[in-house]
Amino acid sequence: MKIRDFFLYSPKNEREFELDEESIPEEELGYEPQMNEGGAELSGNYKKDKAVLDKELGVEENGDVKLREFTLRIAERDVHCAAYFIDGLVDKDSMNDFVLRPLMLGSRKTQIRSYRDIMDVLLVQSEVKETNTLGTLTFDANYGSVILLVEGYGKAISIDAKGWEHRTVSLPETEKVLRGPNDAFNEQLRGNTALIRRLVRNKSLIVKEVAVGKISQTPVAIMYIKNVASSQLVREAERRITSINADCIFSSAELEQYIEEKSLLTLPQFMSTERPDRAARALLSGRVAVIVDGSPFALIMPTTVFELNESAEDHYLRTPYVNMIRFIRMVAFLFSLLLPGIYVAVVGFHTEMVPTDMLMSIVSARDKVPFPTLVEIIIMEIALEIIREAGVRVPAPSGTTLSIVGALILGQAAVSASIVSPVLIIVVSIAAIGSFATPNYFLGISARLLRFAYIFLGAAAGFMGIMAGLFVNAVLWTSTRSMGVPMFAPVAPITKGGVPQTLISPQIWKQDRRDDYVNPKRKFMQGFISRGWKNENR
Amino acid sequence: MKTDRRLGVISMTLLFINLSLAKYLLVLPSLIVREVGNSAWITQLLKGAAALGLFAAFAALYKPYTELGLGEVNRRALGKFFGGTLNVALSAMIIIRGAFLFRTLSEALRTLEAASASQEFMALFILVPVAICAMKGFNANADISSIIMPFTVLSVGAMAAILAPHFRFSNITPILGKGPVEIVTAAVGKFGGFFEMIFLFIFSRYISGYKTFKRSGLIGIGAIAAITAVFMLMYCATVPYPASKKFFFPLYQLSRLIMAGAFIQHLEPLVVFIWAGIVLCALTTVTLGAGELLASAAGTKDVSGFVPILAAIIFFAGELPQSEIMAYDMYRVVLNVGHYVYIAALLLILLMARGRKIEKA
Repeated sequence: MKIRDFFLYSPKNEREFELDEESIPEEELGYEPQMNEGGAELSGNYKKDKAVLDKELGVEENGDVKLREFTLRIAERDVHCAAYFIDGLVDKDSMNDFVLRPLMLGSRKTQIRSYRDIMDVLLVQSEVKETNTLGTLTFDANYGSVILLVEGYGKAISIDAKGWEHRTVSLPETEKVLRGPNDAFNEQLRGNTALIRRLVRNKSLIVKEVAVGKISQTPVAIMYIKNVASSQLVREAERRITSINADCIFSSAELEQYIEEKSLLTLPQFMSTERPDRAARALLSGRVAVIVDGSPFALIMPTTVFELNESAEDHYLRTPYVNMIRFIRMVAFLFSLLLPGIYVAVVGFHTEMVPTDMLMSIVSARDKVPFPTLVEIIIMEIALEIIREAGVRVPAPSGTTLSIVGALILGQAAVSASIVSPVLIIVVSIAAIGSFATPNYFLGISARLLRFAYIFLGAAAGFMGIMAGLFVNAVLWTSTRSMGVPMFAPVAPITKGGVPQTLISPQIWKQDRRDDYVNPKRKFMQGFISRGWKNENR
Repeated sequence: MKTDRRLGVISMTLLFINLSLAKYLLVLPSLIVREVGNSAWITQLLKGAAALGLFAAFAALYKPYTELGLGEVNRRALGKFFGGTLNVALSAMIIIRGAFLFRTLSEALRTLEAASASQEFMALFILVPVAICAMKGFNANADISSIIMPFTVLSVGAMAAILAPHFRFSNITPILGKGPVEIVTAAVGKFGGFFEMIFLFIFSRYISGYKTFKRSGLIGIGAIAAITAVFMLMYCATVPYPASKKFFFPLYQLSRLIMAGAFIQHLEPLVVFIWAGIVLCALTTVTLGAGELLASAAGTKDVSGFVPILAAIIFFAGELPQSEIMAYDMYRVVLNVGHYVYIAALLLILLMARGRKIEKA
C-alpha cells in the first residue's frame, strides 16, 4: 500500500452497478449543446426528414411527444403529412380546430393548387412560419408549436399553438400597495410582456427575445424603450445575457447572478419586481427590464441603493407621506443593520453614554445572565434566524404554532431562564422588524447578514469598530456598479440635480427629469409646466 | 460600459476639504490658539486668503499639465532620475504626515474608547479599512468622501447649535488676541497650513479638466477657511483662554460639554464616528497620494501595488515615537515645518516644468 493511499480514499475500480448507456467522452460533457442547436437542415425528402424529426424529437422515447399522420389534398393529389407536437404544451382545441381540421377537411373542400396555399389559405393560426432548420424546429416544438411536415414541400411548417397550464394574473406577494394597481407577473413570458405593453402603449417599446441556456433554451425578453434607454445600456444588457454559457436558466434570480458584477457582495445589484407598473415605470425612466420565462419577476437594470429603498407604493402616495415613509425606512434599515452592534459597543465600551438610571436598569437585568453580551446577542440572533427560516418553509397551518413557540422561546422562556436580558430582546426585535420594513427583500437579507459583522466589530472596538466596518462597507458598495452605474449614484458620485430628488421626493409634477446617471436619450419626462391648467389660469 | 470617470468640482472639493479637516478636527485648533490666542479664527480667514492667492498662482503655472498629474510633470521636468527621486522624497514626506495622523488617531481612540486595548490593536481598525479603500482606487475614495463630508459638516453644525448656550462673548475678547502683528505673522508664516492643495496637483489627472481643477482648489480653500474659522470661533467662544491652549482633542472636548438629557447622557462617544470617518478618508487620500507619486517614479500608473507597502510603512512609521506625547510633539513639528517643503517643492517643479517647456498632455 502506498502512503498516499493510506491517507486518501481511493474508490475501487470494480463498481457495484453499471450504467447501461455508453459512457460519454469527456469532451462532450463540456458545454457542447446537445439539443436545439446547430444549422443542420431538412433534406427535402419526406421519408428521410420524418425519420430525422422522429429521432430529434424522440417520438418513440418520449411519451409526451405526439405524432399525427394524415393526408391532405393538393392539386387533386393526396399528400402525406406528419404533425408533431408536445402534449401539454399545445392547446388541444386550438390545434384541432385551427390546424388539423383545416388541413384534413379544408384541403378537400377548398381547391388547394400549390403548397404555398397551405400557409396562405388553410392555416388560420396567427403565427405560422416555414423553416427547414432542425434547431429551430425542435426549439419551436418544445415551445408549444405544431411542426408540420408535408410530403414534397421541402420545408417544415411551424404553427404556433401554445397553450399550457399556468397561474393566472394574481395579487403581488411581496410588493403590495394600498393605492395603485394590484396585478403581478406570473410564470408566462408572453403574458408578462403583455402586462407591460398594456401600460406602455407605444411603438418605441421594444421586446427583444433571446434564448438563454444551452439545453433549457429559456426564452428571455429584454425590454426597453427605444428612444429613451441608452443604446449603450441596452447593448451591455444584451451582451451579458447572450454571453451566458450555461446549460440552463430557470429564473430571473439565476440570471441575475450570471450578469451581476460582484457575486460575493451582499448587496443586490439589480432590482427585481413582480409588478408590471413598476417595470413599466422603470422602462419609462430609461432602464432595461429583463423577464425570464417561468419567473414571475422582472429584473430592472441599472439600479441604485436608493431605489432599493423605494417601495412600489411611493409613486401613488402624496409627497409628504412618501418622504416620511422613506425616512422611516432608512431608519429601519439602519436599525436592522447596526442596532445590535451599537448595543454591544455601548454596553462594552461607551457606558458613559447611557444615563445612570438606565444603566443601572440594564445592569440589573443582566445580573443573572451568565454570558457576555456578545454571546448573548449571538444566541438570540441565531435563534431568530432559525425561526425566520423555519417560518418560510413551515406549512401555513403550522405557522401559528411556530410563532407561539418562537415567541415563547425568544421572549419569555429565555428571559426567565436568565439566558438573555430583556433589553436585548427589545434590541434584537427592533432590528428584526427593521429588516422586514426594508422594501427590497434582498437588501433586508443583506442587512441581516452584515449585522453579525457589526456585532463582532462593536464587541472588538466599540464605535471605532463599527465605523471601520461602515467605512469598508461603504467602500465596497460605492465601488459596485449595476450595469456600469455606481450603486450609490447620484450621491456618490454626485450627479447634476440628482441628489435632492433622490433624498427628498418632490411633488409628482416637479419630477420632470429622468435620472441622469442612467444616461437616457431623453432627459425630460414631462414638460416644464406639467400642470397645464395652471398655465391656462394665468 | 465606461467605468473610468473624471471627478467633478463637487466630488474633488469635498475630498480636498475632508483631507484638510482631518487635522483641524483632531489637534490643530489648540496649536493655533497657542500662537495667536483668541483670534485663531481671524488667523484662519487670513491664512485662507493667502492660500487662495498662492493656489491661484500655482494653478496658472500648472495649467498645461493638468492631464498629467504632479508626479509625471516632475519626472518629465527633472528627468527620470532626479524627478523620480523627488517623487520618492515627496512621497516619504506625505507618508510621514500620514503616519503621525494615524498615530494620533489610534492613540486618541485608545484613550477614549478602550483603555485596556493596545494602540496597535486599535491601529488595525484604521489601517485595514484604509488599505481596502486605497486598493479600490481614487474614485472609491472620492465617493466615500462625498458621503462622509456632508455628515461631518452637519454634525459639527449641530454641535455648534447645541453648544450655543455655552458660548461666552468674553471668551473671544480681546478680538485681536495677542495682537494684529501676531495674527498677520501667523497667517503669512503658516499659509502653507493649506498644504493639502498639493494633493490637487498630484491627483489632477483624475479631475475633469483645468477648469474643474482650479475651481475645486479655490472653492475648497475658501470652504476650509470658512469651516475652520467657524470651528475655531466655536472653540474659542466655548473654552476660555488659556484653557483652550491645553485641550488635546478639541472636537472631543467640546462634545463632552453636551449633556443630552434623559436618554443619552453623553454624546462624545458618537464623535468617534465623525472623527474616524474623516480621518480614515484622509489617510486613504494620503496613501493614494504617496502611491501616485511612487507610481510616477516607477513609470507606471497602477497605484494598487504600492498600497499594502505604504499601509505597512504608515503603521511602522507611526509606531516610531515611543509615547503618545512624543507622537503629538512630532506631529506638531511636522505640521509646522513640513508644509514649507511641499510649497517649495511644488514651486520648484512648476518652474522647472515651465522653464524646460515639457510637452503638454
